[in-house]
Amino acid sequence: MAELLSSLGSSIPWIVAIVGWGFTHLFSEARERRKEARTQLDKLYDQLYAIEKLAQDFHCAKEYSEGKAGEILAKLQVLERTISRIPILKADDLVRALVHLRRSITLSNFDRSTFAQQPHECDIVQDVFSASQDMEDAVEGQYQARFPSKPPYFRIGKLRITWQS
Amino acid sequence: MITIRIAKDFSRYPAGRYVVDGPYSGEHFRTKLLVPAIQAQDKVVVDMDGARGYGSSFLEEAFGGLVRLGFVKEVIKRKLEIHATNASLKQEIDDYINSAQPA
Repeated sequence: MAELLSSLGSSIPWIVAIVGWGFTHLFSEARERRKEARTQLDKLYDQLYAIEKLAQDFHCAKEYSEGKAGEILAKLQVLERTISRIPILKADDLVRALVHLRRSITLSNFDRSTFAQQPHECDIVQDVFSASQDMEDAVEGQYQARFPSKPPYFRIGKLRITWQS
Repeated sequence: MITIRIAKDFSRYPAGRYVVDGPYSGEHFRTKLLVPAIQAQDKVVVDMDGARGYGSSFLEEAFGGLVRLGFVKEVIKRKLEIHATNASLKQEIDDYINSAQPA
Protein backbone atom coordinates (compact mmCIF):
# COMPACT_ATOMS: atom_id res chain seq x y z
CA MET A 1 0.00 0.00 0.00
CA ALA A 2 2.82 2.36 0.96
CA GLU A 3 4.56 1.53 -2.31
CA LEU A 4 1.37 2.27 -4.25
CA LEU A 5 0.96 5.65 -2.54
CA SER A 6 4.59 6.42 -3.15
CA SER A 7 4.19 5.50 -6.82
CA LEU A 8 1.08 7.69 -7.12
CA GLY A 9 2.88 10.56 -5.44
CA SER A 10 5.77 10.36 -7.85
CA SER A 11 3.27 10.38 -10.77
CA ILE A 12 1.66 13.68 -9.76
CA PRO A 13 4.27 15.87 -11.46
CA TRP A 14 3.77 13.90 -14.67
CA ILE A 15 0.00 14.25 -14.46
CA VAL A 16 0.32 17.99 -13.82
CA ALA A 17 2.69 18.32 -16.77
CA ILE A 18 0.38 16.41 -19.14
CA VAL A 19 -2.73 18.34 -18.05
CA GLY A 20 -0.80 21.61 -18.35
CA TRP A 21 0.39 20.67 -21.82
CA GLY A 22 -3.20 19.81 -22.76
CA PHE A 23 -4.50 23.21 -21.68
CA THR A 24 -1.65 25.03 -23.40
CA HIS A 25 -2.35 23.12 -26.61
CA LEU A 26 -6.09 23.86 -26.34
CA PHE A 27 -5.58 27.60 -25.91
CA SER A 28 -2.89 27.72 -28.58
CA GLU A 29 -5.18 25.92 -31.03
CA ALA A 30 -8.05 28.29 -30.18
CA ARG A 31 -5.80 31.33 -30.71
CA GLU A 32 -4.68 30.05 -34.13
CA ARG A 33 -8.29 29.35 -35.16
CA ARG A 34 -9.30 32.81 -34.02
CA LYS A 35 -6.48 34.46 -36.00
CA GLU A 36 -7.33 32.38 -39.07
CA ALA A 37 -11.01 33.34 -38.83
CA ARG A 38 -10.15 37.02 -38.33
CA THR A 39 -7.96 36.99 -41.45
CA GLN A 40 -10.78 35.41 -43.48
CA LEU A 41 -13.29 37.97 -42.20
CA ASP A 42 -10.95 40.89 -42.92
CA LYS A 43 -10.67 39.73 -46.53
CA LEU A 44 -14.47 39.43 -46.66
CA TYR A 45 -14.83 43.00 -45.37
CA ASP A 46 -12.39 44.21 -48.04
CA GLN A 47 -14.70 42.67 -50.66
CA LEU A 48 -17.70 44.28 -48.99
CA TYR A 49 -16.08 47.76 -48.90
CA ALA A 50 -15.05 47.38 -52.56
CA ILE A 51 -18.67 46.65 -53.50
CA GLU A 52 -19.85 49.61 -51.44
CA LYS A 53 -17.37 51.93 -53.20
CA LEU A 54 -18.25 50.56 -56.63
CA ALA A 55 -21.95 51.02 -55.92
CA GLN A 56 -21.44 54.61 -54.85
CA ASP A 57 -19.32 55.35 -57.93
CA PHE A 58 -21.91 53.70 -60.16
CA HIS A 59 -24.96 55.54 -58.82
CA CYS A 60 -23.21 58.91 -58.56
CA ALA A 61 -21.63 58.74 -62.03
CA LYS A 62 -22.75 61.15 -64.74
CA GLU A 63 -23.43 58.36 -67.18
CA TYR A 64 -24.63 54.78 -66.98
CA SER A 65 -21.77 52.24 -67.02
CA GLU A 66 -22.56 48.75 -68.21
CA GLY A 67 -19.07 47.64 -67.24
CA LYS A 68 -19.46 48.79 -63.64
CA ALA A 69 -22.93 47.25 -63.43
CA GLY A 70 -21.52 43.90 -64.52
CA GLU A 71 -18.62 44.19 -62.12
CA ILE A 72 -20.99 44.86 -59.21
CA LEU A 73 -23.10 41.80 -60.04
CA ALA A 74 -20.02 39.59 -60.30
CA LYS A 75 -18.58 40.89 -57.02
CA LEU A 76 -21.88 40.38 -55.19
CA GLN A 77 -21.90 36.79 -56.38
CA VAL A 78 -18.28 36.25 -55.31
CA LEU A 79 -19.08 37.76 -51.89
CA GLU A 80 -21.81 35.18 -51.28
CA ARG A 81 -19.58 32.35 -52.42
CA THR A 82 -16.80 33.59 -50.13
CA ILE A 83 -19.21 33.63 -47.18
CA SER A 84 -20.23 30.04 -47.90
CA ARG A 85 -16.57 28.99 -47.75
CA ILE A 86 -15.74 30.49 -44.35
CA PRO A 87 -16.25 27.65 -41.86
CA ILE A 88 -17.21 29.76 -38.84
CA LEU A 89 -20.06 31.53 -40.71
CA LYS A 90 -23.58 30.18 -40.99
CA ALA A 91 -24.41 31.35 -44.51
CA ASP A 92 -28.13 30.67 -44.04
CA ASP A 93 -28.24 33.26 -41.25
CA LEU A 94 -26.75 35.89 -43.57
CA VAL A 95 -29.25 35.45 -46.40
CA ARG A 96 -31.39 38.43 -45.31
CA ALA A 97 -28.35 40.69 -45.12
CA LEU A 98 -27.19 39.54 -48.57
CA VAL A 99 -30.63 40.19 -50.08
CA HIS A 100 -30.70 43.65 -48.48
CA LEU A 101 -27.25 44.44 -49.87
CA ARG A 102 -28.09 43.31 -53.42
CA ARG A 103 -31.43 45.10 -53.40
CA SER A 104 -29.94 48.33 -52.10
CA ILE A 105 -27.52 48.44 -55.05
CA THR A 106 -29.32 46.77 -57.96
CA LEU A 107 -33.07 47.23 -57.57
CA SER A 108 -33.40 50.96 -58.33
CA ASN A 109 -31.44 53.15 -60.72
CA PHE A 110 -29.44 50.14 -61.90
CA ASP A 111 -30.70 49.86 -65.48
CA ARG A 112 -29.91 51.95 -68.53
CA SER A 113 -33.53 53.00 -69.08
CA THR A 114 -34.02 54.39 -65.57
CA PHE A 115 -30.52 55.51 -64.61
CA ALA A 116 -30.01 59.06 -63.37
CA GLN A 117 -26.98 60.53 -61.62
CA GLN A 118 -27.53 60.53 -57.85
CA PRO A 119 -26.16 62.99 -55.30
CA HIS A 120 -23.74 61.52 -52.74
CA GLU A 121 -26.27 61.91 -49.91
CA CYS A 122 -29.16 60.26 -51.79
CA ASP A 123 -31.33 57.50 -50.35
CA ILE A 124 -29.78 54.84 -52.58
CA VAL A 125 -26.23 55.55 -51.39
CA GLN A 126 -27.39 55.75 -47.77
CA ASP A 127 -29.21 52.44 -48.13
CA VAL A 128 -26.09 50.82 -49.60
CA PHE A 129 -24.05 52.01 -46.58
CA SER A 130 -26.74 50.78 -44.24
CA ALA A 131 -26.94 47.36 -45.94
CA SER A 132 -23.16 47.05 -45.92
CA GLN A 133 -23.02 47.85 -42.20
CA ASP A 134 -25.83 45.39 -41.48
CA MET A 135 -23.86 42.71 -43.28
CA GLU A 136 -20.69 43.53 -41.33
CA ASP A 137 -22.62 43.51 -38.04
CA ALA A 138 -24.22 40.16 -38.84
CA VAL A 139 -20.85 38.60 -39.74
CA GLU A 140 -19.16 40.12 -36.69
CA GLY A 141 -21.99 38.81 -34.50
CA GLN A 142 -21.29 35.27 -35.69
CA TYR A 143 -17.56 35.75 -35.06
CA GLN A 144 -18.20 37.03 -31.52
CA ALA A 145 -20.51 34.09 -30.84
CA ARG A 146 -17.73 31.73 -31.87
CA PHE A 147 -14.84 33.63 -30.30
CA PRO A 148 -16.13 35.76 -27.42
CA SER A 149 -14.00 38.64 -26.13
CA LYS A 150 -14.06 37.21 -22.58
CA PRO A 151 -12.02 34.25 -21.22
CA PRO A 152 -11.63 31.53 -22.32
CA TYR A 153 -12.05 33.42 -25.68
CA PHE A 154 -13.65 30.50 -27.47
CA ARG A 155 -16.69 28.28 -27.16
CA ILE A 156 -15.42 24.89 -26.04
CA GLY A 157 -18.21 22.92 -27.69
CA LYS A 158 -17.66 24.61 -31.04
CA LEU A 159 -13.91 24.08 -30.90
CA ARG A 160 -14.35 20.39 -30.13
CA ILE A 161 -16.68 20.01 -33.12
CA THR A 162 -14.09 21.70 -35.34
CA TRP A 163 -11.43 19.26 -34.20
CA GLN A 164 -13.59 16.26 -34.91
CA SER A 165 -14.60 17.34 -38.41
CA MET B 1 -41.51 18.98 -65.90
CA ILE B 2 -39.08 21.30 -67.60
CA THR B 3 -35.75 22.66 -66.42
CA ILE B 4 -34.63 26.11 -67.52
CA ARG B 5 -30.90 26.58 -67.09
CA ILE B 6 -30.49 30.31 -67.31
CA ALA B 7 -26.77 30.25 -68.08
CA LYS B 8 -27.26 27.72 -70.89
CA ASP B 9 -30.76 28.46 -72.20
CA PHE B 10 -30.76 32.26 -71.82
CA SER B 11 -27.47 33.97 -70.99
CA ARG B 12 -24.49 33.83 -68.65
CA TYR B 13 -24.87 37.60 -68.33
CA PRO B 14 -28.52 38.28 -67.52
CA ALA B 15 -28.99 41.98 -66.82
CA GLY B 16 -31.55 44.73 -66.89
CA ARG B 17 -35.21 45.01 -66.10
CA TYR B 18 -36.85 45.84 -69.42
CA VAL B 19 -36.16 44.79 -72.99
CA VAL B 20 -34.83 48.30 -73.70
CA ASP B 21 -32.14 47.72 -71.05
CA GLY B 22 -30.45 44.99 -73.06
CA PRO B 23 -30.90 41.67 -74.84
CA TYR B 24 -30.92 39.56 -71.67
CA SER B 25 -33.33 41.46 -69.44
CA GLY B 26 -35.74 40.11 -66.85
CA GLU B 27 -38.69 41.05 -69.05
CA HIS B 28 -37.20 39.15 -71.99
CA PHE B 29 -36.44 36.10 -69.84
CA ARG B 30 -39.99 36.08 -68.49
CA THR B 31 -41.60 36.48 -71.92
CA LYS B 32 -39.35 34.10 -73.82
CA LEU B 33 -38.86 31.27 -71.33
CA LEU B 34 -40.73 31.58 -68.05
CA VAL B 35 -44.30 32.29 -69.16
CA PRO B 36 -44.41 29.62 -71.91
CA ALA B 37 -42.94 27.06 -69.50
CA ILE B 38 -45.41 27.83 -66.71
CA GLN B 39 -48.34 27.76 -69.12
CA ALA B 40 -47.33 24.42 -70.59
CA GLN B 41 -45.86 22.51 -67.63
CA ASP B 42 -46.91 21.43 -64.16
CA LYS B 43 -43.41 21.89 -62.80
CA VAL B 44 -40.79 24.39 -63.89
CA VAL B 45 -37.31 24.16 -62.41
CA VAL B 46 -35.20 27.26 -62.87
CA ASP B 47 -31.50 26.60 -62.41
CA MET B 48 -29.80 29.89 -61.51
CA ASP B 49 -26.23 28.57 -61.33
CA GLY B 50 -23.60 29.38 -63.93
CA ALA B 51 -24.55 33.00 -64.60
CA ARG B 52 -22.16 35.81 -63.66
CA GLY B 53 -24.63 37.32 -61.21
CA TYR B 54 -28.17 38.64 -60.99
CA GLY B 55 -29.42 42.13 -60.35
CA SER B 56 -32.48 42.65 -58.20
CA SER B 57 -34.22 44.53 -61.03
CA PHE B 58 -33.79 41.48 -63.28
CA LEU B 59 -35.17 39.14 -60.59
CA GLU B 60 -38.07 41.43 -59.71
CA GLU B 61 -39.16 41.87 -63.31
CA ALA B 62 -38.76 38.20 -64.24
CA PHE B 63 -40.54 36.68 -61.22
CA GLY B 64 -42.55 39.49 -59.64
CA GLY B 65 -43.65 40.34 -63.20
CA LEU B 66 -45.47 37.01 -63.38
CA VAL B 67 -47.89 38.23 -60.69
CA ARG B 68 -48.41 41.56 -62.49
CA LEU B 69 -49.20 39.58 -65.66
CA GLY B 70 -52.04 37.85 -63.82
CA PHE B 71 -50.54 34.55 -62.70
CA VAL B 72 -51.89 33.54 -59.29
CA LYS B 73 -49.19 33.54 -56.60
CA GLU B 74 -50.14 30.10 -55.30
CA VAL B 75 -49.93 28.63 -58.80
CA ILE B 76 -46.51 30.21 -59.36
CA LYS B 77 -45.23 28.88 -56.04
CA ARG B 78 -46.60 25.41 -56.75
CA LYS B 79 -45.15 25.18 -60.25
CA LEU B 80 -41.90 27.04 -59.80
CA GLU B 81 -38.82 25.49 -58.22
CA ILE B 82 -35.67 27.56 -57.91
CA HIS B 83 -32.31 25.82 -57.82
CA ALA B 84 -29.46 28.07 -56.72
CA THR B 85 -26.20 27.45 -54.89
CA ASN B 86 -26.51 30.99 -53.54
CA ALA B 87 -29.43 30.74 -51.11
CA SER B 88 -30.09 34.48 -51.18
CA LEU B 89 -31.37 34.25 -54.77
CA LYS B 90 -34.18 31.89 -53.82
CA GLN B 91 -35.11 34.08 -50.85
CA GLU B 92 -35.17 37.23 -52.97
CA ILE B 93 -37.29 35.64 -55.70
CA ASP B 94 -39.78 34.43 -53.07
CA ASP B 95 -39.92 37.98 -51.69
CA TYR B 96 -40.74 39.44 -55.13
CA ILE B 97 -43.46 36.90 -55.83
CA ASN B 98 -45.00 37.56 -52.41
CA SER B 99 -44.86 41.34 -52.63
CA ALA B 100 -45.92 41.82 -56.27
CA GLN B 101 -49.51 42.87 -56.96
CA PRO B 102 -51.59 42.05 -60.06
CA ALA B 103 -51.61 44.99 -62.47
